[in-house]
Amino acid sequence: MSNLMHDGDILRMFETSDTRERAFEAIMAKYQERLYWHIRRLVIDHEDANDVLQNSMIRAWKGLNGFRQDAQLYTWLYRIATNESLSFLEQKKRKAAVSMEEVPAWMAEQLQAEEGFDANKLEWKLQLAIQQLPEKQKLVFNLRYFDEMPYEEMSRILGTSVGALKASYHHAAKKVERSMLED
Amino acid sequence: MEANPNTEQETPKNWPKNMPFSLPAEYFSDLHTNIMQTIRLERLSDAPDSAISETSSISPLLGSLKRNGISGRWDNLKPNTNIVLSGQEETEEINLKNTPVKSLKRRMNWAAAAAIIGILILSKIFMEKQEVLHPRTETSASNGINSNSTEFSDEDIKSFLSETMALPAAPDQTTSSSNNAEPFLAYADLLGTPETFTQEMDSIPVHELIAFVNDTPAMND
Repeated sequence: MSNLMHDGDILRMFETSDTRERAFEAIMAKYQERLYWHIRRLVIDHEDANDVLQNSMIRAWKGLNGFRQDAQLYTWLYRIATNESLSFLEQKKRKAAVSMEEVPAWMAEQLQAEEGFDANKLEWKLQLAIQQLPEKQKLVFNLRYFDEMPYEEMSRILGTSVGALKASYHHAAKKVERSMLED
Repeated sequence: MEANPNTEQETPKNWPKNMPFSLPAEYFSDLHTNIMQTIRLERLSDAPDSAISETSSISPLLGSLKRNGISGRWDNLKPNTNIVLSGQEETEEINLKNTPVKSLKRRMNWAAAAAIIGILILSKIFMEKQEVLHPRTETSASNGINSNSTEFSDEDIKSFLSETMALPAAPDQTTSSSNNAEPFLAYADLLGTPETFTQEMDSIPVHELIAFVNDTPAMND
C-alpha cells in the first residue's frame, strides 16, 4: 500500500501529529532500498551504509516540516543521503590519514575486503573500475547508470548544471570502460 | 523509472546492473522499525523537558506524580520574610576588595626585604653590645703583659723602678734627694727573703716601729 501512496498524501499525513509516524514509515517503505544502495555504492561497507542511512532518515524526519515541495520528495531525500555519505567518507579518510592520491587505491582495498569479492566476475570488475573515478564523477555515474535518474533531477541533487552533468557522465563511462578492458 | 535511451548509448549493453554486494537477510523488512526506534529516542533527547519525558517513559507512575511538593504548607509565610537570628544584626552587603595578585606579590617582596634588613640591624646592635660588655682591648692588653713579663729579669725590673720612681731614703741613709731610688733599693736589700724580713720585724719593739712610721716622711714628697 505504501508504494501506491503519492508523495503529496504522505506529506499531508506527516503534518498531523497523530499520523506523523505512519507517514514517515510510508516514506521509508517507498525509498529505503534506493537510498540504501545509493549510499552503499559510495561507502561500500554494509555497516557504514546502515549508519549513514539511519543518519539520513533522522535528518529527513527533522527537516520534513520545512520541506517546501519545490522538488520531488525522493530528490530531497537523495540530496540528504548524498551529503551524509560524502561527509562520512571524508571523516573516514581523515581517520585513516588517506591522501587525495591514495583514495582510489584505498577504495579498491575496501571493495576487495567485501564478502564474496571475485575479481573475475564482471560485477566486481565494474565496481572496481567505478571506485577509481573521482568523487563527483562516481556520483554522477552511479545516479545515471544504476538509478537511471534524469539529469534535471540529478542537477537538483548535486547542484550542478545539466550540461556539466552530461559531460561528467560521458567521461566517467569512458574511464570505466577503459579500466575494465585493461583488466 | 523509465529507461533512458541516452544511458544505453553511452555504456555497453553487457554491463551488469545488479549490485554484487551482500547484505543481511531481511535487512529491509526490519529497517523502518529500527529507524523509527532511533527517531523516537532522538525525539526524547530533543524534548525541552526531557527529564520528565524520560521519567514517564521509564515509569508512568513516577511520571504521573506531582512535582510541586506538599500543597498549603508554606501558604502562611509572608513574602520576602527576612529571618534575623537573635543577637545578630542585619549586615550590609560586604564588598570584598579584590586585591590584584600583582600588588600582593609586591607587598610580600617588600615585607621580606624589611625582615632581612631588620635582622641585619639587630645583629649589628647585638655585636656592639657584646663588645661593650666584653671589650677585647683590656683582655688582649693583660694577655700581652702577662705574656711579655716573663721576658724581663728581676734586674731589669729593679733598674726600671730606680729610674721612674721617687722613693724616700732608708733609715740608715743620709741622702735627702726625692728622686733617688737608692733608699728603695736599700730597703729592697734589707728586706731580703720573706722569712728574714719577718724575723727582723719581730725583733723590733712596737714603740720604735710607731715612732719610725711617724717620723718617716711620705714617700711621694
